[in-house]
Amino acid sequence: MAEVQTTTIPDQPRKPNPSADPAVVPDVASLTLLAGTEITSPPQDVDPATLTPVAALTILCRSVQSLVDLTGDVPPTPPISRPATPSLRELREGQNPRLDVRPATPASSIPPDDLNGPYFSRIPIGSPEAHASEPSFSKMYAAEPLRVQHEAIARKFFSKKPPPISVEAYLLRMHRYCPMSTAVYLAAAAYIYRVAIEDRTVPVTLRTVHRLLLAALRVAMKGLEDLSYPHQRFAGVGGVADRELAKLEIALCYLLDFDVQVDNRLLREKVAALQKMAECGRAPPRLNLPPRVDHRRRISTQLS
Amino acid sequence: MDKRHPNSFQQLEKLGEGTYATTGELVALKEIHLDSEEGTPSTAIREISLMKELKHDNIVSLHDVIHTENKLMLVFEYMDKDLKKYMDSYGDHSKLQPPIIKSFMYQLLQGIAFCHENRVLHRDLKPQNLLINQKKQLKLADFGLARAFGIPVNTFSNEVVTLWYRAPDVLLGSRQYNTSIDIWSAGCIMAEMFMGRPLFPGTTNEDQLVRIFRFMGTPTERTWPGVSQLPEFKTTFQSYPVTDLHHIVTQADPAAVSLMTMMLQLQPDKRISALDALQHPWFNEIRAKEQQRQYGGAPQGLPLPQQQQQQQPQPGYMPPQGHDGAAYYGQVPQQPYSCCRKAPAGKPGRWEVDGIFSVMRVSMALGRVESGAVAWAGNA
Ligand SMILES: Nc1ncnc2c1ncn2[C@@H]1O[C@H](COP(=O)(O)OP(=O)(O)OP(=O)(O)O)[C@@H](O)[C@H]1O
Ligand SMILES: [Mg+2]
Repeated sequence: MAEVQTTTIPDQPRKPNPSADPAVVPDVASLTLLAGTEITSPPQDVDPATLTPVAALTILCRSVQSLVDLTGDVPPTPPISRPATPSLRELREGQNPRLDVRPATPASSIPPDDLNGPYFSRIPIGSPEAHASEPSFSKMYAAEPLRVQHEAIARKFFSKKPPPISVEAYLLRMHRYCPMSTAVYLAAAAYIYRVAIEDRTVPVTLRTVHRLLLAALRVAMKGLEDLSYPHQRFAGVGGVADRELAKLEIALCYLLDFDVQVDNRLLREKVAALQKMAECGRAPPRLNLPPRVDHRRRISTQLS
Repeated sequence: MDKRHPNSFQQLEKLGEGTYATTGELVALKEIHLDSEEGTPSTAIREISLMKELKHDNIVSLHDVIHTENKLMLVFEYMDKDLKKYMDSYGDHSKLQPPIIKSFMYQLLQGIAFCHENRVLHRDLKPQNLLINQKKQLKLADFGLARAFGIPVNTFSNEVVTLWYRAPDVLLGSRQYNTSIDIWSAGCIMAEMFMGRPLFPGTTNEDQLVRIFRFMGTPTERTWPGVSQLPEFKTTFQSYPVTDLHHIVTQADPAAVSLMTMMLQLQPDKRISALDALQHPWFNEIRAKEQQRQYGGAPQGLPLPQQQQQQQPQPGYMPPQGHDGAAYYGQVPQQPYSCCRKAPAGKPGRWEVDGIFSVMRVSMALGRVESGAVAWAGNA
């Protein structure tokens, strides 16, 4: 009897795939971004539950920009090796292709079956990693290993020279082609607060800020949302090669010790702390949302 | 030094895709391939970040995350079997005995309650993802589909939970689901342990719904207000009456049927919560035993889920609605995670590749996660 029943059981169903749900894809054209809108002062007490994504983006932009202003140019930590090891020579001579300091590959274009977002033009943000011979402010050769490891990872966030796009323009570009949620923007701010201020593993400077933002947004989206944009698209919009985005992403995970989960209380606290830090700097820049240049329908915006 | 190389986890037996036992039989490695063009799978980021927060006796522990050239290796505590294999090897036609079912259900609900208290939905509970060790402890595993809830995100997928264990509200297209979807899965698993086969082995979304309705009755606006608003609801659903579960799960005693019925409510709001389920009379003996042990009884019988209570004050259970910030993820991990890169070929003992040093903490001699051994320092 039991045998008979057993044979009627169909095969084990396949594993569910949350990102295969077509309805979770946000409509790129419907993002709440309006031509010429200005956001005045961001709220002091941030309630993630009621904040719009654009307001969250503004907070992220302002506080990170202020950190850049505050920090100035901090050189990266020393090249990631002890003197006289073979790998250092390899690094210097560029023999190891994976360590080679090469110009960033141009952004890839969106695959045709991609989200119905507007096409973006390429905007490389410069070559990754600081030059090996660059002077540094700290000598950590004998430092504790975790610290050394973190500093080695931190180097991945340094561009050779500041990328030719402002933080604001960069974030708006991200938001335009890959709109993200309030939680993702605030979590990215919380991650940056952690690495820059709490752990002091990567300083936020003109040379690191773009890569930090890109990695933070990527990790936040993967960690918190059921859908993240295709890798190529995100890398392309962010101006880095696919492989580099992959490296930045895992590097940030390690810097964060994989503590990427957040809740509203944590978001509120971290963002408030970050804003407070930022207030010590210059007047926060105003976030000017640029006019939309594409032909898509105009969308009304709600800004709170 | 070589003892700490990832390769020193000897491959003994393949457990499931991407999972290996080790000679020590004390850790299990789950390999996740990293595609340099695609990046780290979000399932891996989820699984690691959630499991490292969720420390509980009924949740499998994640000891470490090892990053090699092209893969991530998650080091888990070793468990003997998953529940599916356990049923197939020890069950009578895969049916388990009521006392063991009771123990497994109690532990399953403790694990679920802990996730829910910490505002995490598992979203893929099924026998294959529940692991059993030699002490007959049951632990939740495979958090690849799990996610935190209650934060203002954009995307909440409907493609969750393996079909047979998927709640009717999800099958009907709801994206507003909450902790009650895990309870539905638990109800299905409970029935399966009694029956020795899945309760609702559907082949497609529609077939799954029909199988559910045939036993649980077809919902109407009267029995489930709002059901007709759900995206996949059809007025053409054949109308079935409600069948009492004891006709279906004939092996279960009345108290077990009562609990199962509370877990398998079609309307999500009517499903019992994990915490309430733990108070169900079916578990009376287990709770009594547990109390006895807390007051110095012999350490026999069922494992106790007390670890987390000693480590941190638990916030009270919060209903899943709303976006308020309940205290969650209270526990700061004791040890930092490590990062390891393989030594380049021809340079044994060198651990530095691509600027990332290894700091591994897995010692096979002791068979568990140990203090930080610094691989590169020995070569400096
Ligand atoms: N800690 C462990 N100890 C023993 N066996 C395990 C452990 N973790 C997982 N397994 C076995 O491996 C199987 C797959 O593991 P898991 O569910 O974590 O991965 P998965 O992502 O579902 O992979 P797959 O797609 O192969 O099912 C489990 O069903 C179980 O049989
Ligand atoms: Mg699994």
